[in-house]
Amino acid sequence: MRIIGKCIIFCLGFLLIGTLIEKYIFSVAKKSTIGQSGKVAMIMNHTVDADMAIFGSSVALVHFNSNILEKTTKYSVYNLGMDGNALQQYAGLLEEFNTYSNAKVVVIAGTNSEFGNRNLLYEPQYYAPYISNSKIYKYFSFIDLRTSLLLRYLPFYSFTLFDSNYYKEIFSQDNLKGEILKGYFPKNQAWEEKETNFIIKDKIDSESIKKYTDIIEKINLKGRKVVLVLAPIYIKGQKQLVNLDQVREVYKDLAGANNIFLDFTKSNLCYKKELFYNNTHLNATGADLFSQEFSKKLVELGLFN
Amino acid sequence: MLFNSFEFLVFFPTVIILYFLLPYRFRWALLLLASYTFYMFWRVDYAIILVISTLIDYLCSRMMDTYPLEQSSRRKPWLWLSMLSNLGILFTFKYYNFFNTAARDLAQVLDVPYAAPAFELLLPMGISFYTFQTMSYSIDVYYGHIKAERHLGIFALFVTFFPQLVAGPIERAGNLLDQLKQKHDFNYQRVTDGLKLMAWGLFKKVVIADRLAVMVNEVYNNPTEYEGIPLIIATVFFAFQIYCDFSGYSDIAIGSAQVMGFKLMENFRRPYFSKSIREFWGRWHISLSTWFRDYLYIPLGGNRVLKWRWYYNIFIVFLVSGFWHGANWTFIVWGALHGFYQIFGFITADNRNAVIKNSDLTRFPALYKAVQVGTTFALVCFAWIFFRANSITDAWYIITHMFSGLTESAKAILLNINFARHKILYLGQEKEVFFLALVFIAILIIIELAKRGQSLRFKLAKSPTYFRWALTYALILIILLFGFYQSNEFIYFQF
Repeated sequence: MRIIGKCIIFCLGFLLIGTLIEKYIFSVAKKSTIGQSGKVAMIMNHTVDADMAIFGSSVALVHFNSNILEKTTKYSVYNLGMDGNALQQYAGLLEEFNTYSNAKVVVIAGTNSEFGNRNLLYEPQYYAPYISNSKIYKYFSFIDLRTSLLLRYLPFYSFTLFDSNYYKEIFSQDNLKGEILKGYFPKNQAWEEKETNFIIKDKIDSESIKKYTDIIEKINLKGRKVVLVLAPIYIKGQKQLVNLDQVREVYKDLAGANNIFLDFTKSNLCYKKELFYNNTHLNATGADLFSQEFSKKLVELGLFN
Repeated sequence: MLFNSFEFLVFFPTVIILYFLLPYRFRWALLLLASYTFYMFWRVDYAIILVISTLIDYLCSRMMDTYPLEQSSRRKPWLWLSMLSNLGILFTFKYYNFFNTAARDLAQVLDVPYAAPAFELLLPMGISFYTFQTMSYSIDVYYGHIKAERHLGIFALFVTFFPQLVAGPIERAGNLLDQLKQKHDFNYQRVTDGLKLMAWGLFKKVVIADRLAVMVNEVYNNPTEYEGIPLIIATVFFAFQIYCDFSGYSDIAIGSAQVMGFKLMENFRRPYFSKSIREFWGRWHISLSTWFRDYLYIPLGGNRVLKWRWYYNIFIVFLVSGFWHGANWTFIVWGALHGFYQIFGFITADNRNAVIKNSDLTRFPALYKAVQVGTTFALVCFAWIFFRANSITDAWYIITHMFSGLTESAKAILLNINFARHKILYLGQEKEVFFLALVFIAILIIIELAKRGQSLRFKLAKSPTYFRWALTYALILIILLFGFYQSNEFIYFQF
């Protein structure tokens, strides 16, 4: 009995210390205003809003210069792009944003691989403080049920996901100042990768299309327009993609008559290698040019009249 | 199943609880079932190899035992059958493609037609460990060192005992078989000691080894992008990575067996504090070194032969040891290099002793010891280059470039030209990853030093409960908060 008592006290002690540490880390993360953790926290705390909110993966994050867009459209803009996240993962965030936001337009940017089936969560640590939120958990569990269950129910599992970047971001002093670039993350990077010429056939998964359809409907129900953007792809890279036309068709169908699809794979930017740092990502110079081109198109469409 | 996985976190406590709840006579069945489950988490179909190996060795050993020791001619065919089947399995899965490629290359040079097909076979996890364990059993039965085990279930458990199935320690039947038949009652002290050892092993694996792996892989997978300092740092880091990875696995294996009451053999005894290469091999992967000593070196004649033959025996043992690690020229060179170190050490012993005597170094024992330990560590690190490099060409590049441009890279690091610190000091990682690696290596060294003489466990046992609990909490939290969890397998699983 003494031994069992000792074991129970030891475990309770560890549970207490672990819980205190976890609570502390989560409380810091929930106050974050910069980087990925900041975007998640601000959406979940309902403290970020703009007339135009931009969602998407890295092609949203590194392409849409919020300040340029604001200047041209005269409306407030916030880039909520999440690196490595397809809609299947950040859909919970978008749903949450949709519940409180006053945005007029929601931009969802993607690239050729947007409709592929995902079975791995990308950097789920940023969502860890909010895993018990039903919207976040629902989309997480579609992608990777095991990790989602562990993250939600196994004490301290989140600790195993945190890395130095995460700690650095949430404990950064910059959280006090907030994001000057309003979520935009320019990459001043030259093209370093070797060019390849192998053929890429991206899968188009009906489940992910359905998730797109559902989320677009929910946004439209709030009276907001959705602008679907197929981001620029370097012209030589486009030649490697055998089903880019199919991806375009899916985007067109998703936009339908009520929403807008803007295809930038036919833009002149795609012919200038110096504007890219790999096939699907523009560098800072390219992003500025892209942002100007994108905002001009929006103005032409009369979205902000 | 990996020791550093969630599955093991569920599997191990379940097995332990059932183990102590079950009556003694059923425990072997539980452990056998658990061991096969443990293995089949990796691949179900490859468990058949374990079954085949177990049945053949069981049959051979029982048949050997039907004849008295004097009738060796009747016992021998069964020993051969056991050896050939074990080595046959090992050859088919591990070495066939290596020899096939070598033969094809040779045929090409000689312009001779060659048509043997190549097979894409996945190497069964831990194959070198369990085949060596069963081979030692058959040899021991043949020489009459042990009696053949009659209970097929216990023997099958000896072959597959999950704590040491996939990466050792390679146990001897004389040590483990008897323990598998003994009754082990629950003992609080033993169980908690075992759990602490497991936690320490996990710390070495996920906090140190996997952290270092990120940096080492960056350099060793693209060596031609580096020269000078990063090649040196990556090599030293690899020395700690492989030590923490493998000794971490051994600690978890020994600790988990200890929880159930089994005492597995020690596999590492602070090897990087060795004062010579000979001493290093008495402290590194002890279960394999002693295996080679008992079943290869001594049968070859050991040191009771002419000098040249003795050197030959040493060289052969290290060459085979290198080949045991993998079917690749890099491992063979690594083994040969250690063989050369040993032989060179013996040949030059008198001259070196004379030089040391004349230099008065022995008057400063601490300094003398530091020089010996440092030299041994440097030689071991040099050999690790071949062990870790992806090819002989890469290893050669690293050796020929690791001391070039040292001044320039040092200057670049100091002035941080073009983010030099990030690229050549932190090996492409965040500086926190690099500095934390240094901190944890320092902790490892301090604890290894504290283990000298008296066991650290005994020292800690004298401290108050709150202090011991605080240390345990800190260890678990460090594992959770600073561990790298990207399903990294243990390096020795591939052998």
